[in-house]
Amino acid sequence: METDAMGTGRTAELPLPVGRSVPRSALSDAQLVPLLKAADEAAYEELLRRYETKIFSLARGLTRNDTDAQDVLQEACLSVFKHIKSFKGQSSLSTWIYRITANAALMRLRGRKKDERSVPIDDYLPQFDDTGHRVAALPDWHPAVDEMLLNKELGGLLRRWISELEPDYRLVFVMRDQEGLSNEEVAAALNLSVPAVKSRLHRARLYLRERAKRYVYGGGGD
Amino acid sequence: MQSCREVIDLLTEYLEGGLAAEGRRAFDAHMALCPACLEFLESVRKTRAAVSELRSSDLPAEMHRNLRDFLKRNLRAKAKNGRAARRAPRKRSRPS
Ligand SMILES: [Zn+2]
Repeated sequence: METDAMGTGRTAELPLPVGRSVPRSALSDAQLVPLLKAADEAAYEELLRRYETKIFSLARGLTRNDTDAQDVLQEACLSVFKHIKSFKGQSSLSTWIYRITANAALMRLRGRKKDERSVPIDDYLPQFDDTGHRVAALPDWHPAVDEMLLNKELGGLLRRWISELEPDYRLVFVMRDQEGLSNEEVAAALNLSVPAVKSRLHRARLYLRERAKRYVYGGGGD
Repeated sequence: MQSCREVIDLLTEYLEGGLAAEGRRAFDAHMALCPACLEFLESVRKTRAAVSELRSSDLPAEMHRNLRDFLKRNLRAKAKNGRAARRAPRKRSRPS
């Protein structure tokens, strides 16, 4: 499928768009692309420096498992390597990388055992009566929930609740609220409209808030 | 005045700065009069703040090294035959 455009078979001797002496760290993502296409080692090192932790963090949020996250990271790097030649620059390099990472994580999730199922998000969304007032079985919030959220040792709980979100919600939520991408970036990476991103984000946020609350009240069985 | 349901439906839009001035005013007006919704809004804010702490700021050292080895292996293979190496490390003769 891939053909060597220059026909030399010796990528090391391809003319580079910028000289060897230019530090790759001084280049923008867009400027790195032609170098990546030319298999420039320093450009790849710079790419890793910029993205390896971000990819890993995102993968960890999506898979909740360090081993899987490492596999996803390696998978994503291989994909970048294999497909950079067909990268047309219609999206930014970062968007493209996030998309690749999300796809690699989804592939991995699909291979999972059935007992790692997600929970129905609707069970955790607020209920309203006919007059538009919220009906809550439990008191709505409690200072103990705040304390729980501030306790960093309980990050594992948050991770578990997030991992029990349905993948469609989890992708959006982790990218936006954990990794801090913009709604536009998430939309571009996942091929969604911005309103669709916001709508999933909204439900996922309400879900997580409710999980935290029920945990403190001990009413959620978790 | 908007109902609590309408306000909560708009909560993310509000937090994302997506409400126009008029919508924002109506939202704020509801919050000023409805402690339950205000508490709800604050609780969503706090949950979000906790989630942003989950971001990893470093990579296991071994993974960091593996990725660079992997990269070098691929670049070398590519220079040789123009193809990306598979994930499994290839057998290669080592200098003795
Ligand atoms: Zn209200």
